[in-house]
Amino acid sequence: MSDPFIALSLLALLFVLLAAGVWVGLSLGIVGVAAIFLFTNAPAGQVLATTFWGHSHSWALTALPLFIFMGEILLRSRMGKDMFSGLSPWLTRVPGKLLHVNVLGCAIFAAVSGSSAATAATIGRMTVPELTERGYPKSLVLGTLAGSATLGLLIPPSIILIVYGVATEQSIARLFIAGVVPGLLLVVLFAAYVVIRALLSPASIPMETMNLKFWARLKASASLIPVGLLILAVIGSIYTGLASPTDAAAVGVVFAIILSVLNGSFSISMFREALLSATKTSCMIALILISAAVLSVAMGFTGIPRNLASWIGEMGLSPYVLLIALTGFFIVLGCFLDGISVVVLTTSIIMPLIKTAGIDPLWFGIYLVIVVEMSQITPPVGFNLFVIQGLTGENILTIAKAAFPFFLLMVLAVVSITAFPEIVTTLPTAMTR
Amino acid sequence: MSERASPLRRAINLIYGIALYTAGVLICLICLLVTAQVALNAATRFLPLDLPPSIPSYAEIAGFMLAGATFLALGPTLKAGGHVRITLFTQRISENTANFFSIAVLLVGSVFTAFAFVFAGYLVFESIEFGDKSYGSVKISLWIPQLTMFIGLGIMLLAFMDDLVVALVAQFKGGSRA
Repeated sequence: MSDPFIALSLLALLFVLLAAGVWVGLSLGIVGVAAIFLFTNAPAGQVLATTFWGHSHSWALTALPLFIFMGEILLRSRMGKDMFSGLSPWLTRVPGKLLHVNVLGCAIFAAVSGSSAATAATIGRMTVPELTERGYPKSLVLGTLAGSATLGLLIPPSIILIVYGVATEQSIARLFIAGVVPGLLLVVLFAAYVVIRALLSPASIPMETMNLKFWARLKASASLIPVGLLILAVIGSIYTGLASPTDAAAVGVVFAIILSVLNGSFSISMFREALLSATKTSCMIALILISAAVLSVAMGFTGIPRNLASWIGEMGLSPYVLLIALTGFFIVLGCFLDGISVVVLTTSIIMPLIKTAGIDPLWFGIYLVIVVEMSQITPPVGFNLFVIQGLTGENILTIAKAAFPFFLLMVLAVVSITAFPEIVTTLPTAMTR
Repeated sequence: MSERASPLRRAINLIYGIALYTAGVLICLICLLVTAQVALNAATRFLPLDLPPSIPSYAEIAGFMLAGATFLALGPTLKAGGHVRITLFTQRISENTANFFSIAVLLVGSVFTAFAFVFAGYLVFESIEFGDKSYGSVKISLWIPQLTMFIGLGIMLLAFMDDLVVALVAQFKGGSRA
């Protein structure tokens, strides 16, 4: 049987399973087993069991539940409130004023949490009512939140980069460090956009009377300092090679608990909720990962990814044309699937293609995450849109429209890292020296 | 549900509860083990003490506990609606068709999980048969951590069958769902 026929029938099977509502974490495995069973001579059951086992206990993957746990604790420890009162005194003179709380608050929270949905929920719960009450334009309040919350995917620690690193056997420490500068680039782009919008129509931004002295401002943000130190400790220890991401995550959990004890938000029931929530989230992601591993192994047996790579290779496309095509493909895929599923599904099929095209897998990971970020704020399935809809009760299309300028800014970021790959590669290269 | 749950229902829920809490405890233990290793690392670097450089096989043991946490949480996570699925299409069809689909996907889930469960059992059996041990300095018989995969997949199978039976009963009796 020919390759295209096999590939198309498996793709059709996957589509039917997903559309019928079969869990993503099972669908990938079912297609993998079907591929082995129908198109190869390998024993499907044994391959399934050994792959499930082999991919479920890696040291690198151990960082996953720990970082989720750390985020879950901080999420429940008044951080959203502290973020607003701590950041706002500094921002009253910047054009766009308190709208920057959304951008910076999300960026800071992203640095302790790996999930964009958690970032949107935590920051938005505090900022949306405050900003709306003060009379900031709704489209900018919603847009800055939807856009900036996606930073949770890129700024380390990032759950999705752990998933990418485990699925493609890249160093998670290097991926984390590679995400720092592109993440900051996005923060600058978002903030610049708010400034420009504010300068173009100054009347739309309400007056802020609060104008504190320097020390009073510092006092207002005192509660943010421990969190800032935690972020520096996590990223710094990974960058200097003092700790692996898993080490940093474990210590991060301990410090997050200490912080919440100190600010009085710790309780046994809060700890239990955070732990059980982290257990379930981590289990959900791990199931998708091991199931995708089965699909990867099955694809390896059928040889489809190799042949696809050489087929595309023969077409002699430039890497740029390939990237444009892939970007479109990922955005469409992201309209129906969540970010992690997009990553594992594509890595199991197109990694040989990426390597053949001479694209650096480290760079590709960052690129992929930014594209997945874009898909988080595009309807019909954009997880950030859902979270913000739940938070505000606004129509999903209204939110998507408000987020659209930020979508374009992310396109700009993708173009930038493609034109200047050094934005991604400089820091991790310096790290290995 | 308003009336008192049947003993069977309570027993099954207890199984989910024990599995989920065990998974949570394993994650806490990973955290403690890794933190202890980091502290030991720092101590050997900065203190003039003659300590062993690392906890033997800590990375491997942490990995095994992760596998345990993942597999044991599978069933309870399913019951809590924690596994991702696409509901975009099934939301837009008539209730009868949607019921049909929800029973069909539960059937698909049960069959696949049963398949994985059986072969996980086979893997455990083989590990015992050949006396497979882990690679680290502490030799752990592989069947011990692998058993969590077998048990966890078994609990997920139970969760699928549980939902399937409840859905079938509701479909054919037309009464309220349990």
